[in-house]
Amino acid sequence: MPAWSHLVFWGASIAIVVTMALALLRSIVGPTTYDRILALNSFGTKTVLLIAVAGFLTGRPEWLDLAIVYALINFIGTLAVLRFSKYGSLAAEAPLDEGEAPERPPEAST
Amino acid sequence: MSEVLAIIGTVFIAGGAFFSLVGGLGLVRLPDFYTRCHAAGMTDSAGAAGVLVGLCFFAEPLVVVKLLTVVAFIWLSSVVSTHALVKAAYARGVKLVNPRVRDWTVPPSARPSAVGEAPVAIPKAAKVPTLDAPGDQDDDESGEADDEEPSR
Repeated sequence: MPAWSHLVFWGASIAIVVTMALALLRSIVGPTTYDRILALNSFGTKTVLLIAVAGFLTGRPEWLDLAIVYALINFIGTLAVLRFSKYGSLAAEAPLDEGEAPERPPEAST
Repeated sequence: MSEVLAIIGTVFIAGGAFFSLVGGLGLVRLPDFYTRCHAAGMTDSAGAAGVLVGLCFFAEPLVVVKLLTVVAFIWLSSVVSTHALVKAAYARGVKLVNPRVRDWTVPPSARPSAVGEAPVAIPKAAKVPTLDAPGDQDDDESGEADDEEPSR
């Protein structure tokens, strides 16, 4: 690993932190709940990248195990929040308020 | 040889950081939920893969395997979660801004019949608290949306 590689890692981590700040801004001002969920999902993915880059920056690439676990938890967490926002419970059978959704055209309903 | 590999990895990391920044900018500035989903999904795919594949050129072989595992999992999970998110938002009636084709998020009864400009799309969750306040005269969503758009 050449001597200037830590500059590359610093640049990548700065770019990732700026992206995380932008995603956090969207999650604050987002008009709908789905905007916030989307921004938090993107934020979690950028956290995985930041853990990986910081592991290389400190010379300890073993932190990638943490990145793998964080990616798994991020995916499950997004699906759990989506299910919770639709059903009101993580184990419910029926949607929370079915009459509120507009009726679908027949070719768009799957 | 190590220098050459590091330069290749630097190119990959720079590309990934560029895609990440552009996706974050699009996540803030794009006008619509669905276009923001495009920005975030593209960032998850291209930005994450660029940075992680670029890190592979600096790493030892076992670490390369871990990095490629993370890339593969992000490529699977990001697509699935974006699809679930868009489908949930679409089923809930989050509206499109400026649709070039028919806006299927508007039910056929509330669709404006005249061929003209698309109505100003207000997301449903943002509109729900204000529905009770004006009260009596507006029970039609499309007429209300048409009134708010004098000219474009």
